[in-house]
This record gives sequence, C-alpha cells and structure tokens, in this order.
Amino acid sequence: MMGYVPTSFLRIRGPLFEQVALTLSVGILINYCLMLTGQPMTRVLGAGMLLGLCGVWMVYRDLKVGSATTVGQFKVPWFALCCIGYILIVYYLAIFSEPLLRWDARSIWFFQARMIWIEGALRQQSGWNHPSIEFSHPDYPKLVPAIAAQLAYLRGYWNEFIPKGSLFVMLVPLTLWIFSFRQKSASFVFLVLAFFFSLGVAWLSNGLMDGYLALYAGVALLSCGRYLSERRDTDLYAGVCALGIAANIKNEGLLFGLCLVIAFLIIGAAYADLNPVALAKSVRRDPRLVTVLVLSIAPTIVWTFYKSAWGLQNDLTDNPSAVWARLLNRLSDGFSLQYVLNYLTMRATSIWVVIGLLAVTAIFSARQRLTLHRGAIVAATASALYMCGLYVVYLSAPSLTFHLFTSATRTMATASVAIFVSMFFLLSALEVKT
Amino acid sequence: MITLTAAIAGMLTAGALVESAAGTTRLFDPRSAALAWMLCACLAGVAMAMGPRISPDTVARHRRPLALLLGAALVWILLGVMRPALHAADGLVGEYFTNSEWNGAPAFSAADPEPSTAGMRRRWDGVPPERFSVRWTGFLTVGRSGMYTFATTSDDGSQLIVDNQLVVDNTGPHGLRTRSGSIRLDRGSYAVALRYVQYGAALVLDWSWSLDGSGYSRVPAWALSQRRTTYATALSARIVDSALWVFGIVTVLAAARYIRVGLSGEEMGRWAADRRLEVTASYRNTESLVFSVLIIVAILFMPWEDGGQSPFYSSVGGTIRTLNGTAVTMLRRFDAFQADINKPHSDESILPIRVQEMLTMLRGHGVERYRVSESIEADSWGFQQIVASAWPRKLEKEAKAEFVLNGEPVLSNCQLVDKQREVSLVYCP
Repeated sequence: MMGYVPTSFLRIRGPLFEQVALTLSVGILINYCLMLTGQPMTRVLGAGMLLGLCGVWMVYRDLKVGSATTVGQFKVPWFALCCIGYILIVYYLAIFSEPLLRWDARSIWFFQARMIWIEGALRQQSGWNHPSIEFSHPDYPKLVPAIAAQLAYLRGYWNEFIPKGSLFVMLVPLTLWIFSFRQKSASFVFLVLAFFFSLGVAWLSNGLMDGYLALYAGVALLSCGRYLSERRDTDLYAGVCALGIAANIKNEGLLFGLCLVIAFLIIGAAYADLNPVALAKSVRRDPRLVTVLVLSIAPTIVWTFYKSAWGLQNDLTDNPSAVWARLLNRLSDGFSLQYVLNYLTMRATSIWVVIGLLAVTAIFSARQRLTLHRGAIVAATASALYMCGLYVVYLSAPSLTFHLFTSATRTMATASVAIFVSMFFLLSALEVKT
Repeated sequence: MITLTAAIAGMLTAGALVESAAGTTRLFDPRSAALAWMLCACLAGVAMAMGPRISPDTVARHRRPLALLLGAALVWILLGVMRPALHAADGLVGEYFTNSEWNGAPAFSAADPEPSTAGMRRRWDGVPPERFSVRWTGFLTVGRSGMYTFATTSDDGSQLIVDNQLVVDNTGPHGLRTRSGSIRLDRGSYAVALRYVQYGAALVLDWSWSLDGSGYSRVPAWALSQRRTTYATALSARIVDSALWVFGIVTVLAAARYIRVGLSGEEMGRWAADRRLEVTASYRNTESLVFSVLIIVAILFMPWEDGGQSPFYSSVGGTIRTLNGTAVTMLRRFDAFQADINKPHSDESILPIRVQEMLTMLRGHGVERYRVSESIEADSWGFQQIVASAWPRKLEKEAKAEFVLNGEPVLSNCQLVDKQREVSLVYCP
C-alpha cells in the first residue's frame, strides 16, 4: 500500500489490475530506495509500515468520497481472477518446492541477500569489496537481494527457502500487469502462455533473475506499446515503473532500458505526434509521472554512486582499454563475429525461428492492409538493439566461450520476450476491437 | 476437409523440420506427416470421384495448388523413405549411465544426431541426475586429409578418442574448461568415442573441430555415423538431407498457399456462416483467424532447441504439466512443505560434502578467518559455496587456519586441528 501514497492511482483512469500492479511496484521501488539509504532494516520496515498505513487510509478516502470516478465502473473479473490465482498458486508452490540450488541463486543473488541480512542493512560495512567474493558480482543491483533479506529479517531466521519469497513478491505485480491486457482473444491467450508458460518453470522459480528481467522488460514494452496507441497515462507510468524495476534486477536491465529509450527516440522521429520534446514537456505537467520517474531512476543513480564509492567493478568496467583491445581483436580475427552471432541466435536460443515468424506475421499484416502497431515496432526495435548490445558485450568479454556457454541462453531471454511482445501487438491488430 | 487435412499435414511437416534443425528427439515423427499427406491425397481422390457434385469453379481453383502440394509432399515422403537406407550421417550411439564411471549396463541407449548439452538434457527428460556419464561411439567421416584439431568444452569431464588414440583429455571434475588435441586424418571414416561425465552442478558439453589451423566449428551431424561408411555415402546423405529440407519447406509453403485458396472460397464462408462461428465476429476475417492460430501454435507448442544451461522455450504443455505436477506433489505433502519453509536453519545437506565438513569445522573451532588449499579452490562450485555459506567468516590469504583435502601434502610447520572424511583443518602459524 505504500506505493499508493505518492501516486494515488485510483484517481486516474486505468484498468484495475494495472492500478494494483502499479501500486505494488511503486511500493517495491520505494522500499528499495529506503534500503539504499543504508538504514537498518528495522527502520526501513518501520517507515514502510507507516507509509503503508497512510496508503490504506488514502485508498479508503478515495473510495469513500468517490473521487475515483472509475471505481464504480469496475466489474469483478472472476475468470481473470481465477487465472491469476492459478498462476500465483502454482508458481508459489514451485518456488518453495526446492531449496536454493542453482549457481546464480546461491553464489550471487541469495548470497548477497544473506550478506545484507547478516549486516542488517545495505551498506558498505558488509564487505562488498572483499577479494574472496569477486565471484559473486557484488556490483550487481540489489533490488531482489534486499527484498529477500527483509523477508528473512521479518521471519527472524535464514534458511534455504525463505529468501525465495522475494521471487513471489516480484511475480505478483507482473501477473496483474499482464492481466490488465485481458480481452476475449487468441492474442491475449498467447500473451499469457508466452509470458508464464513458454519460458519453462525454472526461469521463475529457481532463483535466477533472467526470467524476471525478461518479463519486467516485456511488461515495460507492453505498457509503452499500449501508451503509444491509447495514450493513457497509467500505461506510461507502468512502462516507466517496470523499466525501473528491470534496471534494478540485473545490469542487463540497464542495457535494455537504454535500448528502449533509443527505440522510442527512433519511433518519435518517424511519427510527428510522438515528438520526444513534447513528451519531455508533458513530464513537467504531470506530478505522478515525475514521482514514478524519480522512483525508477533514483535507485540506479544511487547504486552507481555506491559502486564507484565502494570500488565495485565488473569484467567490463575494471579495465576499459583491455575491453576495447579485445573487441578490436575479435572484430578482425575472422572467426568471432560469426561464431558469436551463430551462438546467440541459433545455439543459445532459437530466436531466428521466432524472428522469422514475426517477419511472416508482419508481411501478413501488411497484406491485410493493416498499419503496423507502433508498440510492435518499438518492441522489435528494442529487441534488435538489445541483441546488438549483447553481441558487442560478448565480443568484448574476457573469456568468450565461457561467457557464451554460461549465460547466453539466459541473457537472450529478454530479446525473445521482446519479440513475443511485438508478435502480440501484431496479432491483436488482426482482431476486431470490440 | 481436404483443406483441414492439408493444414494438419503442413503443421506436422513444419514440426518435423524444426525438430530436425534441433537435432534431438522428434516432436513430430515425419511418418505422422507422411500419413497425413496420404490421407489428404485420398480425400482429394474421393473429391475428384465426386466430381459432378462439386462446382467447376471450385475444382478449377483447387486443382493446381493441390497438385503442387501433393507433388511436393510425395517427393518429401519418398526422400524420407529412402534416407534410412543410406546408413550415414545418422549420429552416434549414446549410452547413458547413472554413475560417473561408465560402469555396468547403461540406463538407456539412444542414437544422438550430435552430442550436445541440450541433447543430453532432453535424453534425461530435462532432469538429469546429479551424477551421470555418457559414452557416444560411432564413426567420424572426413572429406579432406589434413591435421584435425578437436576441442571439447565441458563441465565436468570429457574425453575424445579418435581411431583408438586419445586426442582430447578434458577429464576430471572441473568447471567450464576447454581442452584440445590434434590428429592427422586422411579422407575416410574413423572410429570415434566421446565420453562425458557429470559430477554435479552445471552441465555443459560442446565438441568442435578445425582443419589445418582454421577456425573452430561444431563437428557437423553429417560427419557422424553409426557404421563405418565412405565419404561418398556421407556426402549423399548430406545431399538427401538438404533435399529433405528444401522439399519440406516447399511442402509447407505449398500447404499454406493451398489453405489460403481453400479458405477463401465461397463454400467456406457459407460453412462458417451456417455454423455461426463467433470467431469470425472477433477477427477481421477467417484468414486472420487461421493465421493467428497457426502462428500461436507454432510459437508456443514447439519445444525449441535451447542448447544451454536450462530449458528455454519449453513447450507450454510441458511447463503446465510440470507446474501442475509440482503443485499436486507439494499439496500432498503440505505439512512437510510448510515445515521446510518454517525451519529456522539452513538445510546444509544440499551443499557438497566437503563444504559441509568445512562449515562444521569452522563453527566447531570458532575460526573467523581461514584459507583453502589450491585443490579446494580449483573446484569453483565448492569454493564459492564455502565462501558464501561461511560468511561472515572470511576467506583471507593470510589466515592461519587452512583447509586441505585429505592426503594433500601440507607444510611441515602446520598442525592438524581436525580431520573429517574429505577435508582437514590445519593450523599454520
């Protein structure tokens, strides 16, 4: 409920599920901002509780005085609620069905969560720059570890299951967001199946963050895409908020955020009504957007500052000249370019098949004399840019085969989900809107 | 009805092609597609026999696309029937063991088009045992004489024997590691054995080669056979495989074209209207509906190759089955499920034995700073787990308490403090 305090989403027009998801997500961002202040978890949780109580009172007030003009229009979507319930229950059981087993989960995310839990706060004294924990990539954002540490703190002990509750916390707004796109159509069924069931159970339950990054990036694209066609403010807030969360899940989230912004600028240059300058001006007139924007960007800025102050580096930033030399070397060795491209598109994933099907769908839509949905163009462009970014990152990585073998399948998930989103917009354009 | 059959047969053909590309177990057996095409041809024959009852316009519209479709399907089926007779490029025989020593009778055997991480994972139905080993045997056919360099990248061990010579030795428990070795081969076919062993944690195997110092590439499936064969036969198999692909794609495209013709007819419109299909109301037209459904089925229900660490793009049906299965299991043991979550201490039994032993000794002796021997550090998974599990007890190079593997030599001035099954704690002042 603390997410409701700065944004009061009931006062603006938007689907119920989207507003609840926004409230929860803004709450997650506020909580992370509070953790980044370095305060002990007791104070962070106390402040959160106070804000939450304020949120409850504000929701009560908004419902009572009827200032929320749309509240009366809400119908209880029983079927959607049943579907959401099913997804959350089966994933809840899957998440807690096994302890922390996987490499990333144990060595990165939940080890960092344990460090925060032991210290009682997210601060330098935890020993983030200790040489023995370099394997843990201490420079990674701490959004999910911070949630996991707080859950363990609330329970009063650590075990191999409790911190996985953070995955469920991340899953709830995601599910609500997807169901804000509900309509009686095959394309919505596709969206639900693609997001929750095509990645495989492990991606959302074993403690690796790539699945969550991919899906939050997907939600950002979906919301931005709907904003481009319907121009509802809540979609813009949702897009910004989802992107803010994605950027604080993994470093690749930042790359994706950059790609989405560039994709927006490209589309903005092509369409007169999407002038980036006009969009920037609208930010000043909308306090809610400013709030969501600040909450989304602030953690990234603060964490970047901490990384610099605490001396946390990664393979690519600790020696830029070596990275540049590796990149130039691989560009000219006549082997790496093709090898990495082949690995990313054909061996790590079969994204070439999905891209092919997307192209076929675009051609079919054109033959049906349909204008390509702007959301589909943004998603496809962002996906292409993200793949290019990954391509360059892998070309400049210290050990090419090691990084490709151990992470390419996972990092490409975001690009694949972006293609799914593009496909969703194209398929929904084939339907008659009722 | 012909259109519907053609649609099903086209999808089966597309599925068979995609699965051929994946190089692992088949989602759609090409025989199913062949049967569907035969049914399609039979229906077309029946329709022709009923000629007088079908309007000349319909017959004229259907004739050419249907003839092209059935012709392409016939060639595809004939090539498919002929292909097994070539006995080349049919992969290696893989024997899968549930131990890490290739001991005893294999748990199962299968012909694998090419050894790979994804292939192994599929063979174990996505859930490989913690420890297992695989041995692939067969023949490698090369077309050019020269110095061949083979490399295996694996986690854990792998070993490659070509023509009874150990060419790559990448054995032992280790993280992702690449090892290579060279051998001179003349044009022909050579016995080959590739062994892989998994001791736990990550599972990776990649096998590549290069000729005379050129760039490495994956050892192609066409070069692997279960019997000794000539290069000419392997080449023929490769050509037939390519032709199968080409005719498969032509068949799928012809099917798409025919379906379009079939769906655009007046009779289809009447059929839909008669049955008051609601879908026509929610879609721009029937063509859009069929196209959408085909695309959705294609994306969601085909288990695409993942080739890596964990299943990606697993089929929707598979994921839902797994989720439901897990949910039912957890609900049946709900008390134990809750007890797991509510147990206030780490379940350290999931850690490697040596890590558990080190933790016991750290706690038992109140050690706050420790170091580990190079042998322990070399096992990256175990090393990381002791650092993570022992935290805030810190690993520091200057620490006086050191963990060594039992049997490992230690400096003379070090005193043994504690000894467990795998690891000892020594104090080196």
